[in-house]
Amino acid sequence: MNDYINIALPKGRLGEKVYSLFESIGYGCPEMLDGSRKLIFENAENKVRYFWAKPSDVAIYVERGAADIGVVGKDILLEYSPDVYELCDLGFGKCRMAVAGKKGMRIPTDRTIRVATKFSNIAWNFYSEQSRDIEIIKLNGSIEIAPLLDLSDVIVDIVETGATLRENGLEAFETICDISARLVANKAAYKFKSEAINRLAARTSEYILENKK
Amino acid sequence: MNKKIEVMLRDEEYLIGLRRLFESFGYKKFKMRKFEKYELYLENKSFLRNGNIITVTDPKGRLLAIKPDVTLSIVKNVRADLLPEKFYYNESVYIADSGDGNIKESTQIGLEYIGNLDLRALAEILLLASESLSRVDNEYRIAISHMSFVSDILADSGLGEAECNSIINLISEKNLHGIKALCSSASVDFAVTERICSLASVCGELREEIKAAKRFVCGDASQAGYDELVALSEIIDAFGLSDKFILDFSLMNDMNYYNGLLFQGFIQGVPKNVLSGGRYDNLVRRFGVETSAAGFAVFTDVLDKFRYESEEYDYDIFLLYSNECKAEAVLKKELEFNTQGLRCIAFDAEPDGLKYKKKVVMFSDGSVKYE
Repeated sequence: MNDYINIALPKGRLGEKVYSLFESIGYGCPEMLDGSRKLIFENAENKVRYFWAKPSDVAIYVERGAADIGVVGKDILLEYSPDVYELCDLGFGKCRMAVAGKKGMRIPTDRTIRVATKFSNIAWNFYSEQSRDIEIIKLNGSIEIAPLLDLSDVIVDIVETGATLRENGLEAFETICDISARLVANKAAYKFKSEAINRLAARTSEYILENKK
Repeated sequence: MNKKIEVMLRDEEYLIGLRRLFESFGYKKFKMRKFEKYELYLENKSFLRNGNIITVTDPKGRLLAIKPDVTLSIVKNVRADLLPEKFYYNESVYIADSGDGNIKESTQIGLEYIGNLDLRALAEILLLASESLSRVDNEYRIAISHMSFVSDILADSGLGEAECNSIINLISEKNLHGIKALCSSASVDFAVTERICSLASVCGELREEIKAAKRFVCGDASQAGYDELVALSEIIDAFGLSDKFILDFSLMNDMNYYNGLLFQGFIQGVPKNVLSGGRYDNLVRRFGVETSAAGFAVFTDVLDKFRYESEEYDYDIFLLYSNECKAEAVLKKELEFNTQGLRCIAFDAEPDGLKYKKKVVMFSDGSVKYE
């Protein structure tokens, strides 16, 4: 039981891509792919146990030790600052955290800026470093609509290609930081399984280096 | 004896055992009051790493804090002419969680050794930390680190204070890609970057890893730190505890307070550290006393939260008596079960949702039937 590595993967395309990476470096678990309704998948040969989680929950599972390792976007790590090791940048799911608003707009410097976002901590930190006063409007989705309806002046959100922004007459003004998927580990589990976790992290880094070429 | 009482007694016995252990090594009990002047924490804000202080105003309008920590209160009362002193405590502390903003109470038992720390004193503290964990579970690890290595490396790096703090955070995340990115944007020498990265990666049995740690020595402080770790490793070895101690240089703490040995304790199956300690000469210095000090605390609330045994029943016996039974006979029957160490609850009708192991029915003539 204890020599298994418990892995939390984010549901969706990113998680599937990460699983196929793990499979190709020797951590396969065939029953993951047979479309069953099971929630937890095990492979005794490779000593792995996988489960799917909502992407924003992966860090919670890892921080609280329900998973030893997991894959989570840097956006989530920056927003919630979970107490985990960040062992490897997978280079997948690349995008950036940006400030966006109506194309060509003037960003007000003479009053409080209204910022609509899912990422209130990231937005708060970014503007407080600039000593700007902002009002955060916390939304849970469809952030782009906020400046169009004058709910907010700008938004702080993830921008991948910028296509959605362009189609709606918005543009990204400023990049706050680059985002990609990260391999994270629980700090206590690492003390007992450091060899196994390091092996997985090292193989992952090698794979990423090779596939970059 | 039933399980619930056993678990409760085990927790109580653990605390009593630790108090005896600390007392037998000459630590005096320090009992602290609930409130402390708010300024103490304001002046040492970053010493309390997690969470926010809870304040109250007393009837005279003075701002007080509900104690978020014990070490600061012990250290601020240190008098240079009375050193060395050894204290232990068993207290509750309170903070507002920085995540959900709720007030949290946590309990800790710990010790502080203030003044004239020599090798023997440091080894005593580590061995007591080790003993404190082994009494919970023999599957434990103590990760140790030394702040001198990172402070020597950073002194050579040419990085500013804010960047140094970022590097310290990245080291504690073992975030090598982040360290490389920050160093390259700050044009840090390649060799220094590599040294920081390999420092962050160290994690393995102390006895083995210490052999390779000499490569991180790059100044007087780290040389002394290295010698100290080697000497401690030999003592740990002599006590047969080598397999419990890990060298992990990613373990970091605020350099404004901590300057030497640092350590954290882990127990298999508990997802975060249950013990934290280190040497904090810099903290004592802030209170105007030039001396050395170190200590640790065991987070007993974390232990409670993750090491419980779940039970299926609230009662071993449900005694269902007919209302024609004599009260005296029912009570006697209850006592009979009690003396067998069973938890018994008696009613004349069965309430919904009663979780019991066995039902016993008592009839008007005093006879019983087990169901």
